Amino acid sequence: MKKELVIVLDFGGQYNQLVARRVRECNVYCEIYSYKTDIEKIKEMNPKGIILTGGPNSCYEPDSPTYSEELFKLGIPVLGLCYGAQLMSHVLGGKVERADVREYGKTEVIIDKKDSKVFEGVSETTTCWMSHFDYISKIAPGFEITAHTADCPVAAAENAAEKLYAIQFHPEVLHTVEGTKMINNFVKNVCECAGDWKMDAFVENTIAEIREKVGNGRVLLALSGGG
Amino acid sequence: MAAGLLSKAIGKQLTCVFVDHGLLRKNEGDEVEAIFGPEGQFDLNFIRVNAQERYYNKLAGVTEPEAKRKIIGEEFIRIFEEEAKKIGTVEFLAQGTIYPDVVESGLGGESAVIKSHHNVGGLPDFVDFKEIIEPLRDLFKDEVRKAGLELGLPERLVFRQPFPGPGLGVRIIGEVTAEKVRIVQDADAIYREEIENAGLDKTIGQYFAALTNMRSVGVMGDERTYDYAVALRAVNTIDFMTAEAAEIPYEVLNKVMSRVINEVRGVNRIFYDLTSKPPGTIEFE
Repeated sequence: MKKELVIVLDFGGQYNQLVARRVRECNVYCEIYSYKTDIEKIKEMNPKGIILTGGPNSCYEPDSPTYSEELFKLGIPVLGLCYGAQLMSHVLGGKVERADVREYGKTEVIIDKKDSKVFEGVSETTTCWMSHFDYISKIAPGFEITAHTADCPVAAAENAAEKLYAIQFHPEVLHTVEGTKMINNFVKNVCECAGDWKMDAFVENTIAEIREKVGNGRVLLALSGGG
Repeated sequence: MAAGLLSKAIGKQLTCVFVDHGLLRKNEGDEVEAIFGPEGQFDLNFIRVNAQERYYNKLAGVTEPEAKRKIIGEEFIRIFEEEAKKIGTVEFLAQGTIYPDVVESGLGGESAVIKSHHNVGGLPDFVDFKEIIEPLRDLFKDEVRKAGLELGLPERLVFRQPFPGPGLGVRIIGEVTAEKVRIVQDADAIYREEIENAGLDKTIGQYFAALTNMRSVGVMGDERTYDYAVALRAVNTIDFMTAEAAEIPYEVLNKVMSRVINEVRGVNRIFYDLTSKPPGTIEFE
């Protein structure tokens, strides 16, 4: 059985593993790769969706981690989070600048596009976790603003036709009250994953794989008191 | 967990070597043997090596945390190597690597923190084998637990408190001796029992007792004592990366204090560690 895969491209964000966990909680298999991963490798993996993480850099500076525009033209849905959202805007012709007011911590976000696929079932005003000093001052062509805060005009933006979604806050962190819902929405509504990666299937498949690999061979395992 | 999966897949083609380094929690060595040994539910070959004395001898006089860790890790490899030689050629070496280990070792993502994990580093250089098997390398810890339940492993084992590879070695500050191991094992067992009695074991993320390096004066039955202080630790993690000290009801702490001082010889003072992470760490060394 070919399993559904969503990949996380890591730009050095501290929450990279959390993003992958949240996707897996939607019963969709998810792996983390460096932003340096070659586009050909990504095509080969043929993921149902790509998520770009946050990161400590400013995307408008010359040596900052980046990705080619091609990534956004594969027809694969992309969700950019924080740095990932800024990078998406920057690469596609929007503008990212240093903000006058940095946002850090729990922030009220107002959803402007209530019928956005990623905000389905999300409250009109919702508490989110912000952590940024740069902001998207101009969205990329083809995008529309879908959420804002008191200090941040673009808390979320999307180009639904191209399946590109940018979110400035961190839905992967539990402080974002409806964050899990948003990630589930992206994975199910936008990437159209069925969500059939479940533990019983994993155990069954793994046992079959071990048998095939080991054949008649012998296996040695060290047991410790720990996990 | 890896043992359970492998046993289910290949039965007696699997040999498990269990090194009891004398730094396990109270009765833990026997519990592991009860589950994986000949009387247990799994079909596999089980070898237990009782290396307590060997470890205590090696650790005598060593106080520096990294030096302690290194000795514990190296001795583990040496013992494992000796056992592997007795068994002869094996084609595969299995390891319990999980996905966070893969990511943290720099193979997965970009935010790489290079850490050496007790159950990964080193072994391949010493043991002659063809290939490594890591059946859990795609899973996060909570997913490993789900897989464990799916496999029919006992809940007690699946939801066991996380325990560091070097074991009590990093929960005894300063030199490790058999006497100190006994103190921390007994204190920890009482602490865990009382947490369970209070019904808090499911709500607190992680809790354990540690032995400080501090001795102080006390008085017990009109007699002056000069004994060690035990530190109680309990933390809740909010997002897997930060943690706060758990708010344990005072009566529970009080009961633990009274029982440990009465029942464990060599202890005359109890502290509760309030430090969050950061700036602290969950373990003491």
